[in-house]
Amino acid sequence: MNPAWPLWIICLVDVLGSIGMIVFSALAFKQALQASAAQPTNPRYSYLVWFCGTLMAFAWFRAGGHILKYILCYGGAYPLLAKTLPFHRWT
Amino acid sequence: MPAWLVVFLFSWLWPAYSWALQTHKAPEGFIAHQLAHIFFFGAMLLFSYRLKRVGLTQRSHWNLIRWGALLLGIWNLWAFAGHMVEHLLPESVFLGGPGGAETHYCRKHLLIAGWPELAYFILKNDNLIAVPAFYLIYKGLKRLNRLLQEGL
Repeated sequence: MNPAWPLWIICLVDVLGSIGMIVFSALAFKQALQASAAQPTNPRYSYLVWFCGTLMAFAWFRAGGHILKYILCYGGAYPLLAKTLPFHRWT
Repeated sequence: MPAWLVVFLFSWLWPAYSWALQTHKAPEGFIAHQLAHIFFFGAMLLFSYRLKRVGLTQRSHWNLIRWGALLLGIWNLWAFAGHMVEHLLPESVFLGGPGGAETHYCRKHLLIAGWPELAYFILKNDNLIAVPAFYLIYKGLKRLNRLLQEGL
């Protein structure tokens, strides 16, 4: 007989990982700002600010969306959520 | 009263829904998402290649940033594969338990009937790659700032 594995493991990794992405992307952006402030004329550090800013925007929207998915699901907005996700299995 | 003002007031007082959401399962959302993963992968690969090419990776902080970017590239391939595998699975492998089909995803079980199910279970934990990638970038920048403070 084939084994059946619980999906809560995937959910847990998703939520904790999303929080981690939010935290580390913000910390990295802060560090990039700090480096750019130390040497404002260095274009390499300005580039790092844009690089980290873009990564932070990506991380916050992705991770925020993933966390919101759980909040909406447990908050009773599941039918609305199910309609908005094109290829996630939330049935 | 001018016509434009009537239209303006009318649309303000009786607005219609305009949701910026894709409310259907058509493939364009999936294709756009997958294309984004490919572009993101390419960008990170190019970034890490350039860092190596110009010799910045000889410095440990830039090397950390490079490895972070490379991991983000790998994460994109990982997530890309995860989405592809997701399409291979039939609904029947998601076991609902007592609640049946209405059971929440997180309370379901996945029947490991073959390699696609096993691959799905592994590939869906893609944050195990994404978080270390962000951590490496943060660590590299922190080291850079320490060197800048020390005036090196």
